[in-house]
Amino acid sequence: MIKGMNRYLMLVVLTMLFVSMPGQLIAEATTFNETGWIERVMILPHKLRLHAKLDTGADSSSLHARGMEIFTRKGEEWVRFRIKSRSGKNELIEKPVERWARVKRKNAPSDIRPVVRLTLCIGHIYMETDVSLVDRSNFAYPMLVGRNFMAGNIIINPAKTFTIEPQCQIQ
Amino acid sequence: MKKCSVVFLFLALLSVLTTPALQAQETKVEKAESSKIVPADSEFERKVVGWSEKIRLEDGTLLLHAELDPTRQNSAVRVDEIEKFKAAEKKEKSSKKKIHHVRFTLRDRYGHEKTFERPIVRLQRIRTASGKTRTEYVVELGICLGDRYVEDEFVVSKAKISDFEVRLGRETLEGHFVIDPALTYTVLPSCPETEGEREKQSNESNK
Repeated sequence: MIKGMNRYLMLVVLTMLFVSMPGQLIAEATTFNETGWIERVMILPHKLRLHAKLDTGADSSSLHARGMEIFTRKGEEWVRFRIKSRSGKNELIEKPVERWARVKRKNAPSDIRPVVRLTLCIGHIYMETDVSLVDRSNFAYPMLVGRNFMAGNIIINPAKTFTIEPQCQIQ
Repeated sequence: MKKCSVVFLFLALLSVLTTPALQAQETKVEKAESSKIVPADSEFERKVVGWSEKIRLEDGTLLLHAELDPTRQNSAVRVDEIEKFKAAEKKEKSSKKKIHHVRFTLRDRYGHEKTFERPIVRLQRIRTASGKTRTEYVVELGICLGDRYVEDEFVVSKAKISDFEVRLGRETLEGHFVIDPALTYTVLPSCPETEGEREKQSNESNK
């Protein structure tokens, strides 16, 4: 009788100990990456490294592309453009046009930009996102990363810049 | 039966004593691991806020919508009327030195209106999207975001900044706030009302 009770109590104690474990796992899963407001971004699979502003005021991302050309492939609208990385690597990229984005501008007619799907890597975050292409060379930084990419992945510390290296595993 | 109850009590006591100790150990492990991901900044206890928030200005008459944009250096407020005037410095009566002030009116979306009179701290040259430059006045203002009262320089401009009445740039946000781009309107302004209490708060956060 006593032995039976003992076993039962041991079980109770053990379950009490295990109940406190999952809290730790949940806390780890919800930890965000904290980054600065300028970060190193890699465009994959081309391995182009760029410096990008993480713009909380922008909905989607945009990228400075040179020599944009629209062409038709198998009845679909495609865009051909060049991106120059920090190290000077100049890559020609061809992508289907997902949609056209109309951008309102002050004191100027509204701009229309092709939007393509690009895969970006910031820190450990590896994600495909919509990027609008702009041919403008007076950008201080060639890329703006918008909230679409950041939401749920990154929180931004306005006091910091260049806190993480792109660390995505490429197969 | 007596033996059974003794064993029960002993085990109950043991479990009560050991679980907090174990939990404490676990939290230690958790902190060490999370510090690898989130770099610890011991200087300030920073608050996570959304990319747009409601703020109060100084005495709290106005409830304004602010955009938190760390890609911009300066903070700015959109005002309705700006008027520059000269006001004599009260402290130095003998020198009769006159300092340029600016008078401006702010309106919020809830029907409140307030006129401010401030000395001009400096002038700021702003490059517009069309490539032209214009000069704007800069004044000192205090804002309340969440439970934190922050004083900083603001560009006073009649030009529309964005859909928001206030823009908070990185110089104002630095050290106080961390921005989560997934969130909006997470906190309501609730700052200490008197200046003395605010100073007390800022001294505590500086420690």
